[in-house]
Amino acid sequence: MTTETTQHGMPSYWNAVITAGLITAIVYSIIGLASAYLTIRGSTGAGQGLGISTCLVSSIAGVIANRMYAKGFNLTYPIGKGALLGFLAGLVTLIVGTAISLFWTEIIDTGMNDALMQSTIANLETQGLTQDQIDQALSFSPEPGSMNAILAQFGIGFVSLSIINVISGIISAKIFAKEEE
Amino acid sequence: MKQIFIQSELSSRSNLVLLIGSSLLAILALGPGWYADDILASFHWHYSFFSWVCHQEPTRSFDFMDAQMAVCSRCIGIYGAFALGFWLKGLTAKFEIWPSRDLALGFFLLFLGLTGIDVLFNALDIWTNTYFSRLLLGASFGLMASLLITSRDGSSKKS
Repeated sequence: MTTETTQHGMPSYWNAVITAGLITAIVYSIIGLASAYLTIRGSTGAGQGLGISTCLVSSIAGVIANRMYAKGFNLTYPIGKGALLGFLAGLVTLIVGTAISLFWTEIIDTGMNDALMQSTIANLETQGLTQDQIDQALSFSPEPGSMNAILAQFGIGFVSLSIINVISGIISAKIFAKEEE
Repeated sequence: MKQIFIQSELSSRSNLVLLIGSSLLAILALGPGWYADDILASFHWHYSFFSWVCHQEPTRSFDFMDAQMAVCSRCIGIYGAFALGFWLKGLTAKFEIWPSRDLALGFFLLFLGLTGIDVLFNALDIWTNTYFSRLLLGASFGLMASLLITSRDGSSKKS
């Protein structure tokens, strides 16, 4: 196996970062889409059950990246570098996840966003909210599928995925990139 | 094993950064109840922010000041106790009482495993977890995570 090295003679971490981001984005997207379709079809319980299992799934990018890099090259490094790997893996997750989401909603199933919105409104009506309250609720977020919605989702995702994967990267560096006693 | 850098324990500056960052995260996770009126959960930015990392199920989340928290009961335990660990580290910095990395890792993996079992057994209807059992397990896991990060590196090579 050939090993790409940086100008400092250290192995490049991009292979681990991109692989981790891809794996996490695909897993997250599959669970997210399945949960969305279950919600659209009215299987609220099943949708919720699946959604519960996704809790913190997006943080595994930092874990996979550090595991691959540290164990793959038999390296030790400080937690700051683990945080960097986590941050980059989170960024790849966000980019790939957004691309998958756009591909799905713009090409595969163009009616999905509208169906999800209708399902959300129906849920709000079930909760006994008046039309004014529903309108107020919907005014908090941009129209699904619009450029504003995509940018807002990307911006929020950038901050939250960065933070959570920096944390998981720090923890993973402490686990995988330290010498065995 | 190849060593890229000389390893060192977490510096007080790094601990301070993590303390402030994790505390802010825990405050955000409490949701918007403490400053906003007429909260419609899942449409406020607090909920959007955590939507990537938590299911935010209303039936599995605490309320805080009449509004649903931005994360579920397990996650609020994780974020809260994660911040608490850095506070404890800062308050006890002068004492040699902090656990070694191996001990902290053992506890971290123990509570990770217990959390996994709790989630699995609840999903399989073997038992039904509660708000407080999820909070307790989440808090234990979060505290062990920050203890692991701040733990002493027993095998560090000092320069």
